[in-house]
Amino acid sequence: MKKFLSILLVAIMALSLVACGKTEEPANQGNANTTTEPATTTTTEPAATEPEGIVVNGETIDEHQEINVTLSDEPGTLDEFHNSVAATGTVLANLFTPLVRNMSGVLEGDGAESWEVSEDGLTWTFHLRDNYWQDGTKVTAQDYVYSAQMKLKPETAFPYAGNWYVLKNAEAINNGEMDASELGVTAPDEKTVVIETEYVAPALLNSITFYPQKQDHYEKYGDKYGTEADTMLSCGPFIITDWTHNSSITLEKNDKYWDAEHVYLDKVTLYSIQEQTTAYNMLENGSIDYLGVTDQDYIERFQNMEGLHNTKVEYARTFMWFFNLKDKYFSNPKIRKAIAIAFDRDATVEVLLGGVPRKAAGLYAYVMYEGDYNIREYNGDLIQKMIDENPDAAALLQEGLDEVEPGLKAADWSFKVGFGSTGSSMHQQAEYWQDDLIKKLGVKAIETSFDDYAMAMDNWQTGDFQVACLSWGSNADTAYMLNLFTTGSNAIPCHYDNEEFDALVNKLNKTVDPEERIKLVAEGEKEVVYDQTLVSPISYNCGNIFEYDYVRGVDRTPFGNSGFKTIYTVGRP
Amino acid sequence: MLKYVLKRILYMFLVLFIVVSITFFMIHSIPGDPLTASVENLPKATRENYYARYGLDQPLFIQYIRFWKLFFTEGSLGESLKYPGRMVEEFIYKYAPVSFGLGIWGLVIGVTLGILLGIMAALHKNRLPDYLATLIALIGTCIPAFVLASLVQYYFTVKHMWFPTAGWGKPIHYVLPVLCMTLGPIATYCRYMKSTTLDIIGQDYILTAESKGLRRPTIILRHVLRNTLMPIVTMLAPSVAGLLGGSFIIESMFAIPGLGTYFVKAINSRDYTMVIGMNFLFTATYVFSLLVVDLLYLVIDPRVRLEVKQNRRSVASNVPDEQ
Repeated sequence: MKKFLSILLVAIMALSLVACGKTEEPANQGNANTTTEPATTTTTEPAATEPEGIVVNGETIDEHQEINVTLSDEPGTLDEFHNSVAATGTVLANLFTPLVRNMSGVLEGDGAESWEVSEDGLTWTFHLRDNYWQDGTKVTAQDYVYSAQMKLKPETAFPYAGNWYVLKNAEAINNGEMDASELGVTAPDEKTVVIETEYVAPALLNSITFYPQKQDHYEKYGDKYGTEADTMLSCGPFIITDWTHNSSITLEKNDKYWDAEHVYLDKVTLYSIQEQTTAYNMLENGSIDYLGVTDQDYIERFQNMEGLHNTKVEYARTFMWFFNLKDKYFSNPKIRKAIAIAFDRDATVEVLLGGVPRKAAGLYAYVMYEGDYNIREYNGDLIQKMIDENPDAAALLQEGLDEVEPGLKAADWSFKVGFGSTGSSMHQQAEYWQDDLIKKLGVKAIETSFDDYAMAMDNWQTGDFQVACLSWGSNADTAYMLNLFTTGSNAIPCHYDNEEFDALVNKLNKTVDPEERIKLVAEGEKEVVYDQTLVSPISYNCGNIFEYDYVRGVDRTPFGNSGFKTIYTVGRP
Repeated sequence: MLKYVLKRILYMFLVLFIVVSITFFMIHSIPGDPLTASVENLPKATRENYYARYGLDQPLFIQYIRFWKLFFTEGSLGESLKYPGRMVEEFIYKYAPVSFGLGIWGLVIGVTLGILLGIMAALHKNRLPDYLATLIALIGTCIPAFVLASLVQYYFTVKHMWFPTAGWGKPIHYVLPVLCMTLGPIATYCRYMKSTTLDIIGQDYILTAESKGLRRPTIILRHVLRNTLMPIVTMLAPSVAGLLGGSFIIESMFAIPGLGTYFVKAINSRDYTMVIGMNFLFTATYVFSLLVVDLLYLVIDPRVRLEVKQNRRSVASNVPDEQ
């Protein structure tokens, strides 16, 4: 019996081992089948043998057009309604035709051929062009209406619905008080989309992107839509032909796209690379064609590499400290200001951040424009102004402390700064700031805490902090950044809750005239940074891009949404 | 014997249940939710809609009951929150074979080489093969996976463009990751094998075997190897279980679509279902491999068989702890 059992067991083990060995292979094979063909290594194309190819901007472009880039994160889903991952937008912009597309800073009709705004500024009418879905059916106005309605239906649970409240009845629909058909996006006929807004919203097209969605296709896949490449139906410059999750995405040119003639790339491969070193290695061996590099060691290495050139681009993203106005001490503007003044921006930018970003001069980055006005030029360097007016930060701090708690000496006072990152570079920066500020302000201590972003944000929103550090990106609408500080916004939770400020921002939201708007923007920024010092801006994010010399036409404007549409290569080896 | 096996299986499920329950309540107790992790500017209604869609608006205990209900009625671990539209078990079906398939290569090659090196080192103690093996083991223990992976990647894909840096689908994509994965097991098993072999060579029965006039290869194969396998089998269990989540760094370095990335990133993005599901899988694999090891003991070690038998006869009904 004993022997029999042990033999049986051995047999089972052996069988299960064999079974393991077997199941393992087809499983991998299965995976391989779906992914093999599009996976690319460095493709070396023979140089075009002089026949007249396509000429763009006076240059004959390569016969074989292809580009390989990295994607910072794996898209959560390509279903726009349910996605909450930023990287997804990069892919979607290439698969769909927004009504209007920001091409290198200029709004151009993509889905729409033309559009006009009514005199009262509340109604926008878009005239669609003839464009087709990948399956050959026409893109209709109804497709745009369906997409907008879906985004606001409560049961869709679209995470970014808040950005769409500018549309008429949107908030009520999202709250479940009205039916989605009441939304201010309608289709009077097949080729016209009419958009009505709650209030005059001059920046409408700068703040939200209207993509179409084909209802019957979407409903056919239901929850599975957007989870795999073959559930997608495109109408934009490219179609998605492969999606190996967490590894790579392949796009190919869509011949049915209305402007296919001006789409040069045949193929785009996006690698989901989360390890910076891997991305650097891929750039060096030519597996990818351009990459943002912030690591000092690699910057030097790539600068010495032939065939690569370096471009610096500025983004509309501000890195800052912000203060909790609900806190006993930080309710005092002098204390906030003292910290903002004492902060060492030069060393932070030049040394800690390797000279890549640009030193901040206010809430708005240098790339922000209101009409023809550059906000930074208009409003000047608010931070320098603060510093010039208050050369002695320690004295200002003491003044503030005296107001809050008479008799409290700075040397006996300490405060706490929270960071929404646990990375080593954040620790390094925090340590420097800690030392430096203790010296300059003469405070007893500065405590630091590091949590992951979700946890930190949760603490900040509930008001459980004194000072915190984050970076925030703006969209092209200049009112966007100021809206973050209004009552009820939990975006940058300073808990300012000031009615006059709310009124100012509200006025800005509804003002059309750029002359008027720039004044309001300047006033608002001055309040946030200079008068009240709700935040202490540190720097503006920049990209340090290394690109192979054969790459042309990448749209790197701060709000550009051209995607891969404009890219081509000339003389790829 | 059967009773013993059944009992072990029962305990296995109990452990699994407890671990999953603890994970469930712990992950929900971390501040922040999937939206705070990613979405700026969130009105109350939007958050409520989101909660309602994914059932997060319910009291935690109800969510807990629902989790098990879904599990037992549909065999599902729930929908991922970061990757909407995809069920957690789909990730497991699809990506566990990738991680496992890659890892098993690393483990099999690593363990085999490790064992051979270990025996070689023991048999040639204080001679060149021993020093060589010790050196390899030392390097393997000291160099962390990510350093090795960076070096290997730089050397073989940049300096010499022999292999693709990243990507998946062709046999060539296996080479570098597997290479990186073998060094760890080689080091561990080599050291272990060397010390146990030395231990066993010194035993009386080996002396007996030698005095009987058995040939050296026979002694090594029959008497030494079989006895050294015991601790190796014990160590294999966690190694096998670790294949699923352990190669995260290598997977992310080479952009391999395995489970590791999902497992690690799920926590930061507060993808509750994914964290629970991955922990479920990981625990299940671990507990199961321990069970397999215990059963293997029955086969390779007569002493354990005897113990189980005696225990069954004795009044005490506790399961013996063979480890």
